[in-house]
Amino acid sequence: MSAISKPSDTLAFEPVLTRYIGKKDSHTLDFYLSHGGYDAAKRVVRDYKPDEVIDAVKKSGLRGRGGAGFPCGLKWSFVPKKTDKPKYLVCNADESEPGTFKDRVINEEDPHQLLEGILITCWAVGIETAYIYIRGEMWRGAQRLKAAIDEAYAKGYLGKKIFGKKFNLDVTVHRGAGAYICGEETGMLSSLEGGRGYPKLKPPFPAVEGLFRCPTVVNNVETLANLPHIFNRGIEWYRSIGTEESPGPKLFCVSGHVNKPGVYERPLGIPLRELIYDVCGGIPGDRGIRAVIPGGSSAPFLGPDELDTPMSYEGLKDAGSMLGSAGVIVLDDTTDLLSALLNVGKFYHHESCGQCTPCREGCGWVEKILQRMHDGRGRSEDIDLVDEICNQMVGKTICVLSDALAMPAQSVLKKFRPELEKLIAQGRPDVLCELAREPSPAL
Amino acid sequence: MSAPAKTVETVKIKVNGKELDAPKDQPVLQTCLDNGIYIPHYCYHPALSISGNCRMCLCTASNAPKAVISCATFPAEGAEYTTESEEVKKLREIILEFLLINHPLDCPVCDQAGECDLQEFSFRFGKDDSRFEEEKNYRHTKKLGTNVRLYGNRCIVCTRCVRFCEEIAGDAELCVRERGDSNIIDTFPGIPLENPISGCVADICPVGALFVDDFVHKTRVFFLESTTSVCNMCATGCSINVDTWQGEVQRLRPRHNPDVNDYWMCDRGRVGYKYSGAAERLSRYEVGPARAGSSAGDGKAKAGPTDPPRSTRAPSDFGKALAAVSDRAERVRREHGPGAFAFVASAWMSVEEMFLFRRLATTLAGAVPGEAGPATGILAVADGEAWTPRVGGAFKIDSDRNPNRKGAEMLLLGSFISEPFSVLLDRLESGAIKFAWVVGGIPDFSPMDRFRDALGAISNVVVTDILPGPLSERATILLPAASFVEKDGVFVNGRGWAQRCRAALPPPGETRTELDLFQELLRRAGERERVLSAQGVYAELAAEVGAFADTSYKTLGALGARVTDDEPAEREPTGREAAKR
Repeated sequence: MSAISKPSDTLAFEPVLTRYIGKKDSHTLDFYLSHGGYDAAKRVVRDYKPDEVIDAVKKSGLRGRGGAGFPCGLKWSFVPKKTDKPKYLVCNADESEPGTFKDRVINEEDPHQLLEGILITCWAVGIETAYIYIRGEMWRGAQRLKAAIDEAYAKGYLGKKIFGKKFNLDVTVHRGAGAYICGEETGMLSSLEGGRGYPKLKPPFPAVEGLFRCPTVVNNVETLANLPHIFNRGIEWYRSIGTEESPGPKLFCVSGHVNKPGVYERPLGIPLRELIYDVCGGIPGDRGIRAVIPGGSSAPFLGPDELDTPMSYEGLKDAGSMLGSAGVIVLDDTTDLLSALLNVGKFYHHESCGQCTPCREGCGWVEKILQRMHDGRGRSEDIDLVDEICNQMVGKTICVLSDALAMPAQSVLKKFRPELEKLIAQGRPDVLCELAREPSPAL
Repeated sequence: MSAPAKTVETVKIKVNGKELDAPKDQPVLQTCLDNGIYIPHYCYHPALSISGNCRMCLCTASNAPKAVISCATFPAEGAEYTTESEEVKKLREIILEFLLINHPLDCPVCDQAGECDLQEFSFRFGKDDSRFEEEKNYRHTKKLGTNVRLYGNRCIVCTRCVRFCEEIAGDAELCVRERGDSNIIDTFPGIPLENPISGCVADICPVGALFVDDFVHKTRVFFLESTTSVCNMCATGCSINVDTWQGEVQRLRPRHNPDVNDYWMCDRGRVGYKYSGAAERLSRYEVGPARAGSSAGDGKAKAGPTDPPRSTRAPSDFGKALAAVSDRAERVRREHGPGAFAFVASAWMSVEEMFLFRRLATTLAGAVPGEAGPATGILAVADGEAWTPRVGGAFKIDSDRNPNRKGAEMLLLGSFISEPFSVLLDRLESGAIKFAWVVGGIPDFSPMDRFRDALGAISNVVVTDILPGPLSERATILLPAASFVEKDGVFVNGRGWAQRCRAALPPPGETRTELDLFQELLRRAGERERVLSAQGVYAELAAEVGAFADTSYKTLGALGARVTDDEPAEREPTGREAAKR
């Protein structure tokens, strides 16, 4: 593992993906071209063979930013080279993990960065049709993307014979209808096909049989936005950011009890403490931290003793959690954890597609028990029962939505058990949660 | 028996330590079932695409870190699968506990109780207790279409019905609505479940969520006695089970037969037993005097269509009625010769009945049918609408509404009937016919006016029928008949597939089956020594009629066999093959 950037380094970190965000008209093609936009795509399409692109991306170590952190180049290489079927790229912009709002920034403020990444991907894999599946609620992002696509068509960056090569590409924006499960890659494919957003059985994996049963690459917005920079500034430069196993910059979405919540671009591997205290200005009122959710609501909670965990794929994995979508939710010591967990439970209960038995029934069951505990009617055996139900939900379903509830729930039960037991013994909601309802100075 | 089996590529796997040759393209679950290793499952159905949502068939595999669902696992060479272990037992208990938490457990009022997979698996694989103490969810109960009723609370959302409508019926009327544990089967607004085989969703429903409306709150299924038989409502001849209780048919259910109907039957056929239990069923032998008036042979028939002849028949019994038939036939033969007879069979008779009726015609008239001999014809109902599922499969609804037209062609064409129906009509109207025997047996039959009116003017009209109607009204001798749920016999479907129909109930009242009736008459005429069972008659028939040679009730078995190659049935792909997974 290479040296993690020093705090001073990260503070001085020059943003890559968000460099031009906040500038006037940053979403327009003219602005994008004014700072070397589409140069990378142009060079890649003219000078690189598809295999060379895939190799370069493999070497860069770019990992999927959607949550699982799967190596991007490796994913592309699973797509069969010789096939009679058309191939598809589906860009996952259905950002719906609670605590995550990073793709939104790119879609709304720098959509051409994404389109350039799409161009590079499609050239590498031999794709002529790409879809951007954007969350339905993100209306502004969809409008900006559509406008950007129109501009790109007008300039000849999309359409037929792009950059004078035998390379055609059409990009379509598809707005989802507001289901969390449609952000799961196969659920998204079902939805895009016009069906109910049921995740599909794997294998076959989308790279072999995905959208319309054709080979399909599914990549997150942020992943694709990284590509132009890799080809503009080189693999070595890219690998110099972040850690050995998690290279590159990352957009961290910090929310909850911090003084300056927002989207921050920092190298992967930045310690959680630094992110909270140095980047986001600490906790309002200098209160203590009760727990941190490091990677969106589906990631297991971290306790206050785990703030030195490096925010990288491997660092959080070692800490028993996951980087996920890097949606960092900070909960200070006024937080009623049962309330927080109930909120997570409610979300996954509501968003379970209901296809597999353990998830369909388990999420609802867990929520009902948590609700009862929260209402002050908990029993001492409830903690073990929830833990046992969560055990039964993990790894028994088609997709990982049931794990996404079970894992954070189990982490809370394990790490904060004495507190929960105290709450149950009290038989009424935590008095501290009354405190939490007071408006936070950060808001 | 069926089409020659394709060579199937197999791999060697081990299940619970036992070595098996597993077909490569077949899920491990199916291979296990085929080899007598039972794995409980809900969403998997061999005719439907694989959905993998119920998680009931979880097992462990040597090549997978986590438990796998055997319905979506295809065998890997050398892999070992375990379906009987503490771990798998625990997995099944978990899934069953989950399935029951929002289930109302209303077995005492549920019609599925007794044939419910949820009940059965809970008993065999589940725990005796649940840790669920919260409130259960409530989901809707409604009619999805004319024939199908949904009890949403009992549904386990295995989506078999949804996939059936999409992959077999092809109309895709059903969908899953809502999310998570509020999931509920529903139709789209304004589009009810009205495809012609909608009732099948109730058959494939593993729990008590979907019912054919006809069967709701009728009886408990564990009281039912089941008889394998064949549907009589069209020339497809679906293999069915006739379920009876207390002397009444309670329902018909399709029976799996890959060469005829797969797992399905149509909604029309499903209630095709109704007439057999009708209160007005003919059940009494009646004999009246020969009709005068026309015996002089004054040409055209007199009775008009609005004026059925007033019945002058008096109640009689089997023996007396048969004696009357013999006597009248004898007299007519003596006075007018064989040309004064007419015999009209029906495409609703079994092949045994046709075989006997053919012989009886010759015996009674004293000459083989033909110009100089008795006039002959066959009654059949007009074609209806054919329907084929949009997505392949062996099943279809035949446009031919007659269950045994093929059998009639094979047995009666040439030997019994050689002239078109119009010739029969001409002869009936000519006044030369003094003795006509018409076999009906067709529910809701309305014969053409000419035929009906001609009958009304003939001196001796023997009618064998099941329901009162235009035929029975014109009979001078009425012989009640057995319906298809009351008789044994073989029916040949439109594709030349012979299947056994079996009696599930005795015929009503004092009625004897036509098989007995025809044989008894032949016996009295000295043509046969004993009255045989259907099986015995079939053996005679098989010895005499080439197409049926080498077949017997034993070789026909429960699924039947092909007896003619007229229309070789090509096996179209079934739902799964067509829809892949």
